[in-house]
Amino acid sequence: MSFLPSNIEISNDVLYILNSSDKKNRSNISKLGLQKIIYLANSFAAVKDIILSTIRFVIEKRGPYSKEIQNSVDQLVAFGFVDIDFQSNSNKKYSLANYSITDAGRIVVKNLLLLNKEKEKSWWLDLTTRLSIIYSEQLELDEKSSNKGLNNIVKLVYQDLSFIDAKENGYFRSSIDLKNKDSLSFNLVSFTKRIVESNEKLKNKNEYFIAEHVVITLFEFLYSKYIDSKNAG
Amino acid sequence: MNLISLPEISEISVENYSLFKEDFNYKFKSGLNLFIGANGLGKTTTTSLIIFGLIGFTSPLDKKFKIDTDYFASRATVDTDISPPSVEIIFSVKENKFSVKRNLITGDIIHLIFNGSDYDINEYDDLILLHTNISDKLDIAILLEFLLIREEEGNYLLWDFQQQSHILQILITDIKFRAKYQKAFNEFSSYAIENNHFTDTNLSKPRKKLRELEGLKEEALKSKKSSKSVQDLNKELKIKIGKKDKLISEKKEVIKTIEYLISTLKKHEGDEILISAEQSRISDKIGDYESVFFSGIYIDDRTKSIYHKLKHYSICMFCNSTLNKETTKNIINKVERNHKCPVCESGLKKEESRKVDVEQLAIEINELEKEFNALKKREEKILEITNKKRIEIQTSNLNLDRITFELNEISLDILEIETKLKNLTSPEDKLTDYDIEIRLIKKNILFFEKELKNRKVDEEKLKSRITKLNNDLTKQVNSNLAEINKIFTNLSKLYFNESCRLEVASKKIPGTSQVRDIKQAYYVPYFDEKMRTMEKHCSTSQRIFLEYLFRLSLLKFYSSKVKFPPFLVLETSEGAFDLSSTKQLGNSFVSFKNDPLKLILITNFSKPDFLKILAKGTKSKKSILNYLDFCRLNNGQLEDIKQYTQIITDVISTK
Amino acid sequence: MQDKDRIISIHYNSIYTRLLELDLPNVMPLEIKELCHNLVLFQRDESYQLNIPKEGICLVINFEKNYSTSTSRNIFDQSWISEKASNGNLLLENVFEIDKMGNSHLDKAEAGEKLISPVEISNFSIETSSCIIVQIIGNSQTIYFKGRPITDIPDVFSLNMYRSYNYKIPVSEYIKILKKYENYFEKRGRKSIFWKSKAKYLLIDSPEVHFIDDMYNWLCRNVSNAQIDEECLNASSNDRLDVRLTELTSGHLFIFEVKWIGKSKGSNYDGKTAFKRAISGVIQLENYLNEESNCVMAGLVLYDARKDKQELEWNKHSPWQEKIHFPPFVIALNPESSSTLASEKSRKRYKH
Repeated sequence: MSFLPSNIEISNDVLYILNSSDKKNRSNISKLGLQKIIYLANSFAAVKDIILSTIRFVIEKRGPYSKEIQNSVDQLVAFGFVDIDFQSNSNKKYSLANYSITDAGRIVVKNLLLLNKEKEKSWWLDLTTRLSIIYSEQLELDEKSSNKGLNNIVKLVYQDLSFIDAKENGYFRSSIDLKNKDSLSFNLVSFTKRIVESNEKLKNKNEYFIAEHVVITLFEFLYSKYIDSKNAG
Repeated sequence: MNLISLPEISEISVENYSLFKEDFNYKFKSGLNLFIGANGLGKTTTTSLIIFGLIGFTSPLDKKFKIDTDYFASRATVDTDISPPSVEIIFSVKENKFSVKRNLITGDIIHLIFNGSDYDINEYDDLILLHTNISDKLDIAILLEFLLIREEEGNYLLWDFQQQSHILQILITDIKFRAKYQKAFNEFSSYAIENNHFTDTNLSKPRKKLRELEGLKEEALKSKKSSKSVQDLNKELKIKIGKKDKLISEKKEVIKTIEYLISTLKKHEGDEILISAEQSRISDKIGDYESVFFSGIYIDDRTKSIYHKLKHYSICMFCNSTLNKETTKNIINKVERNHKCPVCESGLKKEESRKVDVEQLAIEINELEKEFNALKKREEKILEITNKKRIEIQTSNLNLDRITFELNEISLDILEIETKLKNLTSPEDKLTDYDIEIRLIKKNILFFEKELKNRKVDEEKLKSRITKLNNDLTKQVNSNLAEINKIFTNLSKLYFNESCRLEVASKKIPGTSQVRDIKQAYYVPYFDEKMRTMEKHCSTSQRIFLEYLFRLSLLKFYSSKVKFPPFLVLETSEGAFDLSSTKQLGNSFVSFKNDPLKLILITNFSKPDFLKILAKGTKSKKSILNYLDFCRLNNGQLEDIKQYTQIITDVISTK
Repeated sequence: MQDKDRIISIHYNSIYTRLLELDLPNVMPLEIKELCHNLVLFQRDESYQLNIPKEGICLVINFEKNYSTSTSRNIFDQSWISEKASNGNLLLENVFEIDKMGNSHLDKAEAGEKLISPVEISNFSIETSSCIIVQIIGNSQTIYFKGRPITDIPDVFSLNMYRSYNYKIPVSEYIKILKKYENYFEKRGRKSIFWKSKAKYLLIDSPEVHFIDDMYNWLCRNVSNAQIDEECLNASSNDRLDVRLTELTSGHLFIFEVKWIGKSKGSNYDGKTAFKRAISGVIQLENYLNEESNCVMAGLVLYDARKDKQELEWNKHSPWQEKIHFPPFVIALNPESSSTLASEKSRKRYKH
């Protein structure tokens, strides 16, 4: 018999992320990192009209949080597709943990990639993950940083327009609607795409090329905002 | 010629009239009769009594007459206990003897004796008319009040030509003449007035209206003329009809297009539905495959091995305990039979029993995805097309609306032009709004004009009748002039003026314009080389003189023509004369001493000499009526009674 | 709005975009991004910092090749540089060819080449269009492509400065920009890249290209809202040599014409000719203005490499067109530091 993850889609996404970091031989993905990577992936999804799973993000103490993600990764751990490495367990309710993919998980991913649709999702999450890692490392170069590794990505997430908008106009635990086409993030993504597409020098590049460039620009945007906010504040 | 028969008065008796002290009686003699009395003793009342006695109250006949129903009652207090005051007149008309007694207060005839026998008092009027041959009671009154009896301030026939003419008509012409004349005159006059009124109502007003309408019609026609000519309108009409046809064919086209578009749209919509159905079929299939696929992928070795160890070895991998069969069975059942989670006992999904060929499935799923995407692309294309078609249909509908609207407009325009054309080209419609009314009025006017013509003819007839009669009268007046003048000039020559004579004048009757050209002939005095056509042409005494003479002449002339002499009552106004004239006047009266005409003179005591002269003219004492005998004298007059009595005595003594 | 401006600025002027626009073969944006990142990490890493080679390292990154094998080394590994440094090989050779992932071509120090000067590097890189050369000297990092420096990071530890947006100046404040550049270039002007003989105040041959590249790269880092293009049709005396800044939102064009005066091999613009040369630049600007309707401002940037820096009498040239900025921007070039110059002067003064 087999136990199936209750939410296949999120489980797939989690596995892609872990797989991506695995390929790059980077350190494991933290709980927090996982949340933020998926958040950014959803926030920028308009770049390539990737149909991601419906995840409900809620504003929590450390930025947007979705319990579905946490539950999915926990289930994957239970099934043995994901390895968990506890960092600290001091706080009863809240614990830090890092995740990495297991061999079983790698096989699942290999099989999943047989589907074209899944391939695309994987590419997308891979892109987001790798960029998140890069920017986290850059952020870590900042001496004042108290965060370790991928947790630094939180700083960028705090600069996300939808998150700022929801935080300013909402309340603690209000949900952030990333699918909303009127959201600020969506507008910014569309704008960036337009700018990139209008660059003559990039005319003959394929859509994945363009998409990567747009996402990188968006990450750079968040980073630039973060630097300015740091300098100002 | 048959002349009327004037009554000849014989006797008068007054009874119970408190105006007088006693009843009195007088028998009239031929020739001169003298009534002597002071002023206010009832002399003028006596003249009224005579008239009254003959025909009753005269005012009711015409308001120009003086004896109204109150006349006698007002002059004296009436005592109703005793018998009523009355006057009895005995007179004759031709051979017939009348005796009439009237109640002075009521006017009723108390008794009537005709030729010795009692007669029905109601027949009196007819009787007197019959025998006098006078046509109307009014005429009798006129004769009595204006000719036969003259009070002191009485009328002047010489200068009242209408009155004179009236009397001449009665007196000197044939008995029927006056009636004829009057009738013809009235008929003509009233007819003429009627025709005037007729013209005014039926012709003048409509003619005015006609002029108005014709003016309006002119204006209306003028404005019609300024509008377009027939040619232009026909051209316009042609163009509009052409446009209309074009629009109609356009409309047909558009409707065809819409129908076509709708049919193609339906077809595409049908395709849409098919594609959408196919899409859902495929996506369902994909879903199914995917779930199988995922279940094939997520091969969970760890849980498998835990389960395997538990199932087959009854050992728990977590804590390494060995379980008894019972417990193991329970746990296994939970999972396999009841499909419940062994940790929390929540429901689980059923496991796929068969083995899954993941790669094959993947290929199939990819294929299906490709198909699905292709369908999606097709769907998008079709959606584009249907949207376009929908917009086209909408545009065409709007177009259709526009064309329909334009068609309506053009149809109205065409109708307007056709109406205009009709107005200009059809003859009977050369009408304006006014024509009908004008026609009607003209018709009426013509009708009335015709009638008026007839009426005018009749009017002329009537006019000619009266004109003829008038001419006859004039002729008669003229022809009688010589004879009357003989008498007149004799009298006047002796006692007035040598050159005085009567002439004939004629005057237009005042009144309506139609009768104005009928001139009535009448006698006017002429002396000292002048025609005295107006009163002011003579002095007062001359006037009176002439009037007496005229009346005398006229009556004398009349009596020369008939068998039976009339009577004449004159109240003298000797106060107006000077001494010599008075003498002349007296002598002129005296000349009637032996005349068959009964001349009654009413005088007063102011000129005793005059009285004496007049007394000479009387045949006997019996021709003198002394009012002092029976009249009531007031206190003032009582003083003069001696004087008066003396005069009377002197007068009578001359007899 | 600022967000959109920020995006635009990042897109047009970031180092990464410029590398992307080179149309290098066989590479995706993410890989370029990772490469840039790795290069920075590499330079900032302790192993490099403790072993900074005096003459720097030249990395030739060949995008067409893939050197990943079981035995290949990745230079981005921390151990690699410390090994090389401790071996002393870096003194002999400092050119390493790697693939985009950082895998080294040869592990052995065989026929090592040494490239030091920019000129050498320029010449080296002209040959190929599928390689970029990354020169890592001290804390600065310059990437060359086809002979021209594409990116220029003076200090890898100050990268955040260049990635901030608020720190940058809008092109409309060009006077401020050029003032800042003047200050920056004071230190820069001492670099050997410009001087053939510092003592003789002799510039390298055709120094204008280097001036322009320097200004171009600096502007890319310091201008917030303009797309920056450099035009270098012909490096000979009178042809176009300008930098064009196009304000992104309005389309307004700002042109800077670059001229130098001083001495170099083959050209001597000193004394009177200096002025003439300078004015020729102004005249050229006048020509540009006639051609370009979008041009809002044109300015002459004069690199003054004379020993005796006399005042130039700009008023002699008239009429001065409205759109041409007056007076021209003079960027002083001194081979010595100001303190050295000052002490030299004082020495001269007090000598007598």
